[in-house]
Amino acid sequence: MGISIVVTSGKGGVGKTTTTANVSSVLASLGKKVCMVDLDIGLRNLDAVMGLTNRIVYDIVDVAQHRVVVSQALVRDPRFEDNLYLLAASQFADKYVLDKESVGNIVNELKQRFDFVMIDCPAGIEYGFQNAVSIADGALVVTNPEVASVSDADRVVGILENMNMPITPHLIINRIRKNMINEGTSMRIDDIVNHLGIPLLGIVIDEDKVIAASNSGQTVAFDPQSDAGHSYQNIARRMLGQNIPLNLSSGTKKVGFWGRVFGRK
Amino acid sequence: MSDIILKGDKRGFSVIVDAKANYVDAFKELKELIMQQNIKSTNENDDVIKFTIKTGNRLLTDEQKEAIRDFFEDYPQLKLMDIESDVESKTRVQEILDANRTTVESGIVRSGQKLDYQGDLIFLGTLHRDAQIRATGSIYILGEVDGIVQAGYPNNTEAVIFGNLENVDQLRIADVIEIVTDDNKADFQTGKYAYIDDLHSISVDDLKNYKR
Repeated sequence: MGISIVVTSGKGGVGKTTTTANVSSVLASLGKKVCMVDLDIGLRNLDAVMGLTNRIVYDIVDVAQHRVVVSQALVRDPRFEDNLYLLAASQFADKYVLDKESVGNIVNELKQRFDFVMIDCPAGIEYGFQNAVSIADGALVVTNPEVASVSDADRVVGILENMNMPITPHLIINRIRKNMINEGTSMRIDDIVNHLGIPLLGIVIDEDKVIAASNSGQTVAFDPQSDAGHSYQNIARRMLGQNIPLNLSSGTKKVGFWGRVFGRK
Repeated sequence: MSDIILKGDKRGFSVIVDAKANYVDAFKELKELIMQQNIKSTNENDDVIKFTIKTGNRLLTDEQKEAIRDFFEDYPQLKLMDIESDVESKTRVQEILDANRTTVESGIVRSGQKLDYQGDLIFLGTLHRDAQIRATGSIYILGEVDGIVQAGYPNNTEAVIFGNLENVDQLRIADVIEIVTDDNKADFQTGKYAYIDDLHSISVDDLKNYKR
């Protein structure tokens, strides 16, 4: 029996879908059976980020309305052998065709087959959000180091805490701007962690490569040159219980002359 | 004057029921007429008598046709070939018109939009990703298409898709789905058409080989 994890943020555009795609694909590459579920009905993106749009024949609405069974609607990602699947959202139906019961049944069925069911939650804290979080065993709360995003994340953490999930929600701080950290103009990471009061699972640098990878249907996690990709690798490994220290200054300091001479970073 | 006229030609007998006559009376008279014919040919060596009922400008309902067919079931030496009428219902006429219509469509079909057409479709517009066009007949693509193109919906396997399909996500004809990936997109360039082959899967061929 696997576990379901919802990726949520409250605010839109902070990187829920990118996080879902990257973390899921790293987990799959580490040999776990992973199913991504896109619950952003009507505004689906996860399939596009994964480059799987053309393979979608049936979606979660077809499953919820019993036109097909779950296994018929799963889209396999050919890059990860038999480890990574996607259950796409519908682009044509509206979100009210799903309810907590139907989503719950689908996710519970997927949990029988997969180690991780990664649920990509819609933005907001309304109907679609409620469906997504109500059946999750745990949550990844994604936020950006900016006031609006942290404030929305705070609201979400409050709702999640009231639900008493079996696994406590964890935090991912995404889109950290190196230059702003260096200049001291960014919100401080430990301030955000202290403010939200949930365990920090990882931080991800804002990088052009993340967007470039999404545009071509790739995941940045497998780009060895990418700091963000490295961060996603670490996040997935931490989810599997590996003890990888958080390095808040990773890659954020310029290597000085003496550093270069002595090969230190 | 009789409401029923019996005529014979090389295809067999035709029974013409006067459209102006009362339906119940005419049907009764028809039964009597046929029963008389039957009496005259009780010899088992006789051929089965084939006949057609023609109702002129009267259109029988399905129930009425069923009742007539049921009646003649009891007479094995008579074979009712067909019940013909000179007229069609408006619904049926609309269906015939729809099936043979060709729609010309332009403009942008955006993500999340799904457009349905009766008959054939000439598509001059742009079909975005996550959008879908669907026709009961064939589809001729002249514009840019990225989404899902479905011809012959729901079960017309004769339908064909023409045009540049290199960038589409999926081609569907009747119930067959072809996913277009980087591996096979080269097969779907201009000058080709997609159809359902004898193995009931989607094939692509040069336009010059197309025969209607």
